[in-house]
Amino acid sequence: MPTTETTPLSESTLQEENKTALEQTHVHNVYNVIADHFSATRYKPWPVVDTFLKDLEIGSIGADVGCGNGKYLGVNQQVVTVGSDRSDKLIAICRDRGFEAMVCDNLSLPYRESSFDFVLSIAVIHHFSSPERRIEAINELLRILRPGGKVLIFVWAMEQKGRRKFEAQDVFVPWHMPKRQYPANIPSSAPASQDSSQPASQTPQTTTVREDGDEEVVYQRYYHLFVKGELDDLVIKAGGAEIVDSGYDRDNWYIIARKT
Amino acid sequence: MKLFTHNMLQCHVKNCTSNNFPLRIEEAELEAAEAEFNEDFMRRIISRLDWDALRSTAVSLGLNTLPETLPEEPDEEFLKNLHNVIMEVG
Repeated sequence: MPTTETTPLSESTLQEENKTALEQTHVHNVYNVIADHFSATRYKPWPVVDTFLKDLEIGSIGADVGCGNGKYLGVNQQVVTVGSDRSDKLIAICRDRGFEAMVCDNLSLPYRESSFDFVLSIAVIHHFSSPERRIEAINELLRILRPGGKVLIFVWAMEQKGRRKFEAQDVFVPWHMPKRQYPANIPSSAPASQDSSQPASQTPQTTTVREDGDEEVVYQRYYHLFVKGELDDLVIKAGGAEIVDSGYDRDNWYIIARKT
Repeated sequence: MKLFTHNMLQCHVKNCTSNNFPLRIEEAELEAAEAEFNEDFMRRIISRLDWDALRSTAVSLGLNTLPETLPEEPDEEFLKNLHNVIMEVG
């Protein structure tokens, strides 16, 4: 795999009034376009998540907020997990697999307060584009958790050693989708531009040619990369939870916090 | 959607803070999908249900098999029926 070039965001793109448009264009719309390809690459549970789920008491009730293709919804058959995601295409994949899942927004979850024994937030919070929105997202996860219940949060680390190189904490990370395998998924007329004011269903795309001659369509996903200690600080700022465990695993920072 | 999941839901529209639960179900078509019964699992789950909301929703869908109040010592027959209502009907 070649090094994946990421692009730092300009200051104007990160301005307050552009934040929801940025997330719409460079998070929600991208996931909808790449849903099938993304899902085909997401099947192996991460060990920390797997252990967290398998250690739960029988009959625990959980919410996987940002569940993607539902890869964690069936890991432990002794508990019940309700999935949700902003991408309706990913939720359609979950439903095809027989899971309970619905489209909703992490900032406004349609769940009763204090109703879940556990909450998962895997690779979600790093797609929110300001500290305030990231804290709001964590607050909403804690709201639905019962006192004593635990949340597991994973976010991408700035310090990752793999093939991705980052020059800034707020970046676009390219997603390469092979054109030949997913012809029907590619929107016909999305111009290549970093302008955030695209129509609701569109996201900028470019085309590259691989060494073997196959064409790939490239989409840019927005990420905020977390530095060491940043996730712990956010959870402390959100309030109402104590940190049980936190650490680094496979290019991510993670935290397990208990609602107090 | 299973009735178990429905029992977790409330209206999330801003400022909708009263009469926001349970959500009323309209024009639903019911299906049943078999799910494995696990008694220990069900015994734990019942403590997390809002019983009045579950019962009124079930009745609104024509499912009249749930008692008005949750029995203090649920027996296996009760749990099996509850399993059917919340985990198999959707």
